[in-house]
Amino acid sequence: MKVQKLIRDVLLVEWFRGLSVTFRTMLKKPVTRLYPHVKRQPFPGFRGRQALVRDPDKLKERCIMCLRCKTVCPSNCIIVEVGKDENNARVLKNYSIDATRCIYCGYCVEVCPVNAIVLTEHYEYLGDKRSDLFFTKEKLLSNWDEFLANYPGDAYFNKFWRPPGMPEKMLTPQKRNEKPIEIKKKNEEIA
Amino acid sequence: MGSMEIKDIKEQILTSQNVCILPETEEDLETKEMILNMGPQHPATHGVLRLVLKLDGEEIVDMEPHIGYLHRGIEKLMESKTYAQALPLTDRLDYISSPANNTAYAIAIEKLFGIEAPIRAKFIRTIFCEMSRICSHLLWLATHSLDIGAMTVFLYCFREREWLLDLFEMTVGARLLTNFARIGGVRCDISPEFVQGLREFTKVFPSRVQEYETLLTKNPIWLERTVGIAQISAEDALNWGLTGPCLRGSGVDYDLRRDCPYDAYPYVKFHVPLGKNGDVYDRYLCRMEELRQSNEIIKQLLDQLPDGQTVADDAPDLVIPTPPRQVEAAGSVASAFITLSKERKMINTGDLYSAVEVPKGELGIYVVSDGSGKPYRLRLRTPSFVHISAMPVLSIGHMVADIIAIIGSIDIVLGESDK
Amino acid sequence: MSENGVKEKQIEIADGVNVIPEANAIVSPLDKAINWVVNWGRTSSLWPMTFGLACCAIEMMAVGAAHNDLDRFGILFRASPRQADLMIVAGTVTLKMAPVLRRVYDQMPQPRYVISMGSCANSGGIFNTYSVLQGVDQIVPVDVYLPGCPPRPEALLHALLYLQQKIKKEGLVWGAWR
Repeated sequence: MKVQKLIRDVLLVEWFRGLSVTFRTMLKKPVTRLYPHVKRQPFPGFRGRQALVRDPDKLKERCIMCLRCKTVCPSNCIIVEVGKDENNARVLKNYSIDATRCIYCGYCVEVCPVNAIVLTEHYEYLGDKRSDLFFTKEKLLSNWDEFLANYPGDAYFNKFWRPPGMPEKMLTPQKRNEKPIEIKKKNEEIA
Repeated sequence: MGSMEIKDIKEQILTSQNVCILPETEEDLETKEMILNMGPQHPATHGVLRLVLKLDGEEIVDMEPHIGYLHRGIEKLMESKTYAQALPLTDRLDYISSPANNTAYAIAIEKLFGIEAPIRAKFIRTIFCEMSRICSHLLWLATHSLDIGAMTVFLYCFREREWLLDLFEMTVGARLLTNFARIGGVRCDISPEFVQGLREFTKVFPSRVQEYETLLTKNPIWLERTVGIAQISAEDALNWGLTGPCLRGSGVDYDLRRDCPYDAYPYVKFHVPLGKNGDVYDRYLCRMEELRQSNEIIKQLLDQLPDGQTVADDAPDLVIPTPPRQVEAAGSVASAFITLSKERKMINTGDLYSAVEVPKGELGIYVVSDGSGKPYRLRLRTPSFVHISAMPVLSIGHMVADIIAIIGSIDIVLGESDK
Repeated sequence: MSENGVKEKQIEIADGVNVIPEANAIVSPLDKAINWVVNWGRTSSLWPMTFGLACCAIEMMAVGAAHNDLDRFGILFRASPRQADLMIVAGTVTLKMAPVLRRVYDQMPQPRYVISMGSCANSGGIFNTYSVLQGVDQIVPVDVYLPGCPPRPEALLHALLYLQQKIKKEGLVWGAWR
């Protein structure tokens, strides 16, 4: 055993074994993703920038002011103000999300009964000042428009609107019958 | 000058202030102790840990860890949130293996609510726990070897970790802080692509572990830096409250997955590695073997995966109604919620302790509930907090450079220890 | 005051004027060229300091690892603040850690930039408690706010490239005008 150990130490056997691993890896293809030139699409369901869905029929937000998203948010970053208009109907005055407080848990997307809010798969956004990251209702709607404009596909359906595996009776009827939102391309509209 | 006597020269030397005094007795040769501060911002302390070392030259005479630089008040914050809202907070404890923390919390609160998760959800939770165990041990190996000097292993471990994080993102939508468990099951079901990707991973992973072992296990430099450092006997380890691989490295055969099984662990067979001497090298070997065993567990779970739904039928909704606490004045909350909780007794009152084997050790959750939708008190017994308290006994007598190896071997995460 | 502590004052310059009174500034194409060279040097070798505090530190480590390589942008992590010119505050800053952060920021030589990464550094995040600083911009000036919990590694790369664009637009932040 001692002779073996002496041979191993003199001939540096362990070193060469280790170096062989390194040299073998050097000849393999590198796993680096060259970011600005090669952008990998995130998986569907990735929790990125917040947006309010613009209903394709009504052309405004779908929110019914039930305040479930505000109740469930763990970091209290959703601010909803409900007012009354001249016919004494409830109307949404203010809906804002403070993106600097949001923890992107996805609870608001899951509890909304009409699928009005969504965490899109867009993650390349930042702010110069803190107020850039305070999204008002108009900014949230325009987030949705921007996201759809760059979406590669015909229809969009977010995973958390109907998490796979959830039993039917835990979903509201609108969530059960929700179909993917179709994206109208610009040339189709003109035609 | 030449005609001065020796005693005059000696007197001149002793009285002048610019000359060093020659030692005459042995006491004059002793050195003084130095206090060195390894501050909160340091590349090798894994997070914000401050160590105040009392050194005699290079050897450590005494050591005091100062924690609290990441104390965020998680336990107090949980008292003001409902049980479902507190689940994302448990992600932030041990942020390297967040599915394991979510599972621990979900199991504790399910016992409190008195509901049982469906069998498919249990299997999925166990799969995620084992995946997070692999993630955590890979990050441990990456940072431990980076601190000791081997940079290659850091890059290789992160390469494997990215594969697993991609699988997390495919299922649940986030890479690191997944928030995938729910009280009563799992938030999202796994897809066939996930199962296929995970199977490919389990086929390739043992050869990668073999690569890390080739680079480190018999390497003379690694052996010199880790064998014999920070030895702790089995009795001492039990007395200081170590759990997990730190305890098993000293030879104590205790693993919560086998001794108090939960979720889908009764359906799998695995081997629990034990060490002999209780030094840094044995803990390293324990964790490397645990990587292989976790791979085996995932294979067995994927083979036996049952069908079914992933959320229990009587699982509470994410918006948990919160009736007022007994001490609050009446008439301060909407009456609909109060009648709801009076009709159906939603939550048991009382207290409960439930423990789970997370990658770092044993995570214990102690819940005191008063029947409302928010916990009255939630105490988290985290392994890193206990392991940091055992650091002085591990490191006294060693050199300053060994502290880096010791911090790496006890595998601490400051988010967990400071809560 | 701009972000680097340089005093700024907006004045209009007529055509053909080369020297501006009251300001230590000379407007000429030579300055543009020097600005370009100086900014190119600064953006191509931004050296951040490791200030990983919590979960976002793991994503920062992942950016430095193999899949998203930071080294190809010239970014090396330096452990000492005296050798760094960028501080990425990644993680929750507690009230106990805040003086340490300010001290480390003061030790960095100018020009220095700060990226606030993640919800906890931007505004305290979910931790609106007694011991957490609600936003790192209460103690240091921040150049880029990066949202996310934690932000993806590609998002951090996007923020670094955005900071590079911001630095390229700077003018007269060298020599006596620093």
